[in-house]
Amino acid sequence: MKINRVIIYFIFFLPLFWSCEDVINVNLNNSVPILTIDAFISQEIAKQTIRVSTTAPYFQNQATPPVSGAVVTVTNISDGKVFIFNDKGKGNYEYVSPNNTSIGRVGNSYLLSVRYNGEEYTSRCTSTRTTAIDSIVYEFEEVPESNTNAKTGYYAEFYGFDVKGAVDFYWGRGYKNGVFNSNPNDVNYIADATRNFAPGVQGSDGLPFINPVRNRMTNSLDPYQVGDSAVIELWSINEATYEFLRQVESQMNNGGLFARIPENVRTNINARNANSKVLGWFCVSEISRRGLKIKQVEKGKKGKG
Amino acid sequence: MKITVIVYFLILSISLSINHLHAQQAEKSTVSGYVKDSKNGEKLIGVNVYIKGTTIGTTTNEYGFYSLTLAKGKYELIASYIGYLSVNKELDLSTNTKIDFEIAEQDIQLQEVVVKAEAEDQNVKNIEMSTNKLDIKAIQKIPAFLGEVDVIRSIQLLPGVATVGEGATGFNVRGGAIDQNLVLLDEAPVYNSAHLFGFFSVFNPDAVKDVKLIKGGIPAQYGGRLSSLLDVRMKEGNSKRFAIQGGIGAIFSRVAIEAPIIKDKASFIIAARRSYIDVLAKPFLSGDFKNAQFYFYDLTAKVNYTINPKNTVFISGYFGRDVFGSGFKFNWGNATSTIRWNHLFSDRLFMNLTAFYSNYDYLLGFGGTTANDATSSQFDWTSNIINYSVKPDFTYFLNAKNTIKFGAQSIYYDFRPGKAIITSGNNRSDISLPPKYSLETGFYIDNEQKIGDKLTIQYGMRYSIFNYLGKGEAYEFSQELPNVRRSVTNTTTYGSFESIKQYGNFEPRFSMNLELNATTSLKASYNRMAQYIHLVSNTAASTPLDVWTPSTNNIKPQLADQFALGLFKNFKDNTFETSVEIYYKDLQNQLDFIDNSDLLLNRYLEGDLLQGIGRAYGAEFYVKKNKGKLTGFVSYTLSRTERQVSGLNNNDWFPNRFDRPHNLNMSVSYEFNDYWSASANFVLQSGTPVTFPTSRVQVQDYTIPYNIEATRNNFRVPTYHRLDFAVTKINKKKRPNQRWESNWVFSIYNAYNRRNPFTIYFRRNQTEPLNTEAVRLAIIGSIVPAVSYNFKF
Repeated sequence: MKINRVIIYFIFFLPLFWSCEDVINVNLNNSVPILTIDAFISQEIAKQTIRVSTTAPYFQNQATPPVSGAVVTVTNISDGKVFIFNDKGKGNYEYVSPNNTSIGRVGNSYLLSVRYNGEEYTSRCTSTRTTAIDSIVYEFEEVPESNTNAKTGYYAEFYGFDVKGAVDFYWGRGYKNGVFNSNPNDVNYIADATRNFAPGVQGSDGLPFINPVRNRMTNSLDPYQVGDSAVIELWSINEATYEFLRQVESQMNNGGLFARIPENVRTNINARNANSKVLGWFCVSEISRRGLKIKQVEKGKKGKG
Repeated sequence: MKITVIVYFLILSISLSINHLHAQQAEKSTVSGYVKDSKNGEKLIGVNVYIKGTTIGTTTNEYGFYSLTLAKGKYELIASYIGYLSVNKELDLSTNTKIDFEIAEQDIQLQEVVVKAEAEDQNVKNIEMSTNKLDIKAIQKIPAFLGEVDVIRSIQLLPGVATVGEGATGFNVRGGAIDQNLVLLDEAPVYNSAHLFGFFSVFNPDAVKDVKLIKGGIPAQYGGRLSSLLDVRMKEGNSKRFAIQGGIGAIFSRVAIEAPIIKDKASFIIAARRSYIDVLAKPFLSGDFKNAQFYFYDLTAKVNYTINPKNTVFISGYFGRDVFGSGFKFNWGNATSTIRWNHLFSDRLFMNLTAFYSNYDYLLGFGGTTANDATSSQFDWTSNIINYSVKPDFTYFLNAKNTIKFGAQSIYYDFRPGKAIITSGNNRSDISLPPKYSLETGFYIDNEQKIGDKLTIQYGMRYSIFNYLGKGEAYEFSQELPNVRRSVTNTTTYGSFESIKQYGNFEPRFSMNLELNATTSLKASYNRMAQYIHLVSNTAASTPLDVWTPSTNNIKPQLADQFALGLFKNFKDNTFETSVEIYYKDLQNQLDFIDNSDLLLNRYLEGDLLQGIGRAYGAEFYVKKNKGKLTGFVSYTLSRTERQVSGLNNNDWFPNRFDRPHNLNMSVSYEFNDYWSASANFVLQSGTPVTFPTSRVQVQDYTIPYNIEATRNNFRVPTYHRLDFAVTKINKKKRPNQRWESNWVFSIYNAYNRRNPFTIYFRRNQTEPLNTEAVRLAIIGSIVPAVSYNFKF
C-alpha cells in the first residue's frame, strides 16, 4: 500500500514541480560608477542621515563605494532654515539638531543640495501627513524545514486607519531589534489602505489597512523570536515616492514565469549639468511608530501590544 | 453605424441579384454537393473535386460544400483528399445536378496497394501559401508533453512559429505578438487559448476535426489581427452510429461521445476533460495547502441538423476553466457559443451565417475567510471581455475559373477591465473601472481566379471600421517626454452608443500561384491587416490577468503589411513536400509601456502606454515526408523581429522578447508494424533576449539592479534544445471487425534532461543581504515521462 502511494506520488504529483531554479554564473557588461544619493530623512527630532555613494558592478558583494568630500545641505524652503549634513565617513552625512528642534512640519517644502567634484545635484520634496498605528498583533507560526522562503517564529501584523480625505501614501517599515527589514518581498508601499493605487479612484480612503499591507512587517526569512523588539514605522511619502518604491520592488523581485521586462529605477534628483548622471531619491517624511517586545504565546493564541 | 447598415443592405441585394443572374447562362450547368467521410458522416474541408484528366476543379469549403459550373456534357468527377481513397463518379451534366461524395479513409494495411491520390500535390497546386494544415491524426503522431496531444503545442513546431518559452501562453507567428493571432474555434474567437498557463491548450483533441494556421496571404474573409489566423474546426459528431473515444493520461482524462440524433441528418458530439492532479495529491497536502485547489476542465459540445439539402444548422459551444486557490482564489476561463446556418441560395451561391458569443473572464481574490469579523479583509477582482458577433459569408462559385467570396462581420465588444471590491471589516469599497465598448465591422470581397492552366490569383479587399463607443469617459493626456506617465488634462463624457473615436482601414489582400511544372510552383502574397483590440501585457510571458483594451482616442489601431514569396516543390511522386518561403512584415502602432507602468486596475491606462513600429523578416524551410514507414518533417526558420519605440532603448531598435533567430524543429515517426510505432521530436532554438543589469544601486538597504547602458534585451539566454520520444502500441483486435480500438502511448519529454532556461533573473541572496546572484529558471528542469491509454469505440 505504502509503495503504491509513493508511485502515485511520483507519476502524478511530481510533474507540478518540473520547474527548477538554480544559481548560475553570468558575465555582465562593464559598470561605470554613477553618483547615488540616498536621502530619506524625517521631521523627527533625531539624527538624520543621507548616504552618498556610487553604483558598483552588480556582483560586487559589498556595500556600494562611499563618497566622501561632498557638501550636503537641506533647506526648509517654507521657513528658509538651512541644515548642514556633516561627513561622518562610509558615505554617511549626518545632521543632529543642536537644540532638539525638528527640521520642519507637515506641509513644508525642502530643497536638497549635494555639491561634489564641482557639480551640484538638487531635489525638492514637500512633506505629507502620516497616520497612527493602533496596535501590533503577533502569533507563533511553525514552518517546515523544507520551506526555503520562510522560517519558524513569531509573525507580527499592525493595525491602523488611513486618514480620511485626500489620497495618502505611506511607507510601512518593519524592524527587528532595530534592524530595518529590507527583504525585497516586504517593500510595503501603501496608498490609503491598500497597495493598489488607481489614479482617479479613491476606493480605500479612511479604511483600516488591509492585507497584504498589514502583514508586511515581519521578514519571513528572519521572523521574530521571544525577547525580540518588533517595531513598525509608517513614513508619510508622496505619490512619486510611492511609485519609486513600487518600481524598486518590481526590479528587485523580478523572477518567475511572469517576470516584467527589467527597467532602470527612476530618480528625483537632478544634476545641474545635464551631462552628469545621478541616481537616488529624496524624501522628507513624518513618522509614526509603535513597538513591543515579543513574549511567549501559545500556538493558536495571539500576542498584542 | 450608418455605413454598417448600408453595406449590409448592399450585400443582401448583391446576393439576391447574383441569384437572379445565373438563370441566364443557358449552355452551362452546375454540379454541386457535399463531401463526407463515409465512416462517420463528417463533412470534409479542402477536398479536391475535379474533372478527370483536366485541371478543371474546385475544393470543398469550410462546410464541405463544392460547386462547379461547366459546359453541358459527360464528365468523370473525382473527389480526392489526402489519406482518403479517391472516388470517381460518372456525370451526365444536362441540368443542375447534385452529387454528394462519401469517401473512405485509407487503412494502414491498405496504404501500400492504393492507387496514388492526386490530391497529394495540393501543397503545390493550391493557392494558399504560408499555410499549415494539421489534421488531428497528424497531431496525434507527434510526441506530446505528458503524452497529451495538443493543438497549440504541435503548431509550435511549424516553421515561423515561436514562443517565449515552455509554459508561456500563446504563440508568436512570424515575429508577431501573441495577441496578433486570431484564434477561432468554430468561427468564435478564443481570447486565452491556454490551460495551466501554456502547457496545454483549450482545444480538446477528441473534438477537433481540422486545424489550419495561416501565417501570410490571409484571405480578405478574415481580419482583426495582424499576424495569423488559427482556424480550429470542431467535429460535427458521428451521423452514422454511436461512438465514444477517450483517454486516461498522467495529468487528465478525457472522453468524447458522438452519435446521430436522426441518422445522416442530425448528430451531436460532446467532449469533456478534467485534470486530476489535485484529487490524487489531496492525501499528501498538509498545512496551508490542505485546501489547495488546482485543476482545469473543459467541455466542448456541438449539434448539427441538416434540415434539407439547402439548409443546415450547427450549434456549438465551449466552456473551460482553470482554477487555482490556496488562501486565495484565482481562476479564469473562456466560454464561446456559436450558431451557424448554412444555406444554399442556389447550386452556386452558398451562405454561412454565423452568430457567436464569446466571453473570457478571470477572478482573483484574497482573504474573506472569517465573515463579519472586524479584522477580516477581502479583495475580489473580476475582469471580462465579452463579444457578440454576426457574420454572413457568401461563396459564389461563378464558374470553373472564378470563385468569389464576399461578406461582412460585426463584432460588439464589451470590455470590463476590472470590477474590484475591497472589504475591510464592515467597510466596503469599490475600486472598479468602468466598462469600455466598441463596434468593429468589416466588409470584404475576394475572387480566386484561374488564368490559363498555370496561374491562379486571388485578390480581395477588406474594409474595416472601428468605433470606440460610449457610454464612457474619454481622456485627453498631456504630452510629456516619452517614457514618462502622461497625466489627464481633459475628460469628456459620452452617452450610450455615442461614437468617441472612429477608425477605418482598407486592407488589400493578394496572392498568386504560378505552376512552373507539374511538381513545382512559385507563390507570392501581400496582405495588409488592421487590429483594433490589444492585449496589454508588460510581462515577458503573458499572464491570465492581462487585460484586452480597444483602440481609443489615444491608442491607435495596429497595422501590418506583409510580403511573402515561396517556392514549393514535391519530389519522388509526392513522397517529399518541400517549401522555402521568405517574408517581410512591417508593423505600425505596436503597443509598449512606460517604465514602471501600472496596467491593472488603472483608469488612466492609456497614459502608461507607448506605441512604436516593428519589423519582422525571415526565411522558412520545410521538408515533409508523407509516405512510407518513416514519415515526418523538418522545419528551419531564420528570422528576426524587432521594434523601435521612442523613449525605450535609447530610441534604437531592439529585439522583441520572442525573437529567436534560429529555430529548428524535427518531428519523425516510424511504423514498425501494425501495432508498434515510435516517434521523436527534436527542437533547437536560439535563446530569447533578456535584459541584464550592469550595476547595483543602493538605496535604504535595498540593492537594486541597474543597467547603465539603458539597453533593452541586451543578452540572450542560452540556446534551447530538447529531445522527446514516444512509443505507441496499438492493442490487437480480438476479432477482425471488433469496434473497440485502444492504444498505449509511452512518452519521454526532455529526454536528455536539459535545463533549458526560460529566463535568467537577478536577486539578492536570501541569507547575505549584500550579496546578489543570477538565477536560472527552467520551467521543465527534468525528464518528464508519461503513460496514457486511449480508446475508441
